[in-house]
Amino acid sequence: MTRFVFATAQYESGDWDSAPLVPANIIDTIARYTSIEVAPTGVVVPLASTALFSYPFVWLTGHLPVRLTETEGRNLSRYCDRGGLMFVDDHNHDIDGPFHKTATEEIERLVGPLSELPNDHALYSAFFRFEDGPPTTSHELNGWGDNLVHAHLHAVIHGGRIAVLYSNKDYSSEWSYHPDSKRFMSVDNTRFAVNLVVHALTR
Amino acid sequence: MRSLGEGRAPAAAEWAAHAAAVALLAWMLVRALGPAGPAPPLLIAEPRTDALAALSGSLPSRVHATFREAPEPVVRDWLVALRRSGRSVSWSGDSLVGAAASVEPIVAPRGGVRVRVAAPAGMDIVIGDAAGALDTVSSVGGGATLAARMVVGDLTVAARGGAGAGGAKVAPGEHASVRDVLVLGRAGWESKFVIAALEEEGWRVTARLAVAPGAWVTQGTLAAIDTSRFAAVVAIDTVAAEWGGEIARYVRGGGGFVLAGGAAASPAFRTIAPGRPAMYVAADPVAPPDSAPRRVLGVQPITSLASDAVVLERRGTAVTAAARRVALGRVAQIGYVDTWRWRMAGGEGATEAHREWWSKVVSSVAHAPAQSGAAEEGAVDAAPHARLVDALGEPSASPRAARPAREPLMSWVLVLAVSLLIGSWGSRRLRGAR
Repeated sequence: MTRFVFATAQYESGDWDSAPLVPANIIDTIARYTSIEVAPTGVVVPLASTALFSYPFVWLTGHLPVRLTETEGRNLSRYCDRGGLMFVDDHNHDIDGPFHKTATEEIERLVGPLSELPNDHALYSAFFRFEDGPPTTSHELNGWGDNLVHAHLHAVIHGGRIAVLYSNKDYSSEWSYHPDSKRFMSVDNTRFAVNLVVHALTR
Repeated sequence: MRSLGEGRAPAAAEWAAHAAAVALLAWMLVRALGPAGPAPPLLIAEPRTDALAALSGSLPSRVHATFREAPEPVVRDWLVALRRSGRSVSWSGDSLVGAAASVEPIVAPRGGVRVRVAAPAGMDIVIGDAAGALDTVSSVGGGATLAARMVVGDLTVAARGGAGAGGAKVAPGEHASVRDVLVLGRAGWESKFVIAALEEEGWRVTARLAVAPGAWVTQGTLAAIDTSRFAAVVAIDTVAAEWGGEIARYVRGGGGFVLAGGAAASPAFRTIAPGRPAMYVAADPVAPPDSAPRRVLGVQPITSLASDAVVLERRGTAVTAAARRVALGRVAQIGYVDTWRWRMAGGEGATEAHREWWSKVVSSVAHAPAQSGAAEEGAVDAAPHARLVDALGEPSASPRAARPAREPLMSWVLVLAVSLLIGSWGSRRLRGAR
């Protein structure tokens, strides 16, 4: 009965709105490949708001340090305990960057320890099959950020389910373009977003 | 001087009165010496097997047992045997209260048993096992129900109250073997959180969720839908109609089926659904309160109930949950939509309450092959009062209260005879005769 609504997490510190084209692009991708009923526009949901609990999947990104307020932290902890899934992407693609250091600290403090997600995890076959784990981004291949190609995503697992999925791969840059531009690509680089959403909706 | 005629008449009357008195006394003597009436019964209070055994060789023809508590099966059987040997056996028990109990395994991964007790309203019912008391509940409307996760040995039920006392003893039997649950629906929050709730309660879940035309997310292996594989099937939405014929056969063969939300709208389930889903009533835009979380959920009320459907839950006048039996299987229909909001946005205990509720819904219809737990003969007695009445008949008044009053006729005859003798003697004395 409920349509899938792509929700972007808003937090008081940092730049939560650093990839404004990502939601529309992912919504387009979901509508393009699946029959999942998806709302045509996304929402911005403050982590400090109880509205967070109406969106069991949220996307969080930024470049700047992430320090969550007490209310934001309490909500995030409770959200993950109840089965919500937050996808956090480092828009810097830099393991020495301020976002990575602070975001991972906050996640581990509030939700639990991050560990490598195996590349044969069900996430990588939820819709499209990604044999080698998370698809690389042009930002990794071009040597920007930390000059690394990250072989794994990281996750906090609660009861066998992903509570927080953490990426250093900078999908925020990779997917932040107008959906119409997909027609110029030989392979749609947002396909992994379908797996993210399908996995969130089914596991 | 008196004439001869004057003296004869009183003498004749005196003689007649005397003769009548003698005749009456003789009749009383004959009656007293005649064949005796039935001997008073032997009263046995709270008979026990050892006392009965000691009396076995010299029991009279009539026995009356009095009970404060329903007798053990062996005592009851002994009294039945006595009756069949030709003796008259009666019983009474003023403080004896009819109580009965039944127990069935809960078909759920965490197991346990559900105990149902029948007892007069208002009584305190203490349910216990070999390890001690499990709970005390009040009998409301003629009974009470208790679910217990773990039971040691047989279950005993004791009902006490102003009216008296009663009890029962039942064997919990073997835990039912629980198979998987199959969840069918579209990829969505309701599917995800129903699966999560059931898995967190220990159910093994197989799922098939539609994500695109011809594309499914599958969890576990979906072969044939039959009772050898699945304890229950949960249809989250109309996608499950793709397996409509198979599900209907499965239900008729004993399977359990849960129709959630609008799934019952599918024509494929019309013959087995308890009712039809009506127009969607939107959720209240508030967090589900712990006290009544389902009150604020969106709902498709269940209408056009089948004649054999049972209403399980209402919101106001609207039916929100109903169930029915279909051949050997059971079908539950849930009108609530997006119950995941309860888990995500509800109060402190919402997650646990949501999963327990879903587990109960599935458990209420789930198929489980019976594993007989044959109790030791005579060890249990589910309805001792009823069986006592069945074996020995209705209770009678105790013999002391039933002892007949002195026979009125004999009393009157005695009064008459004495009166005649006194009259005869008085008459003779008055006229100077000896």
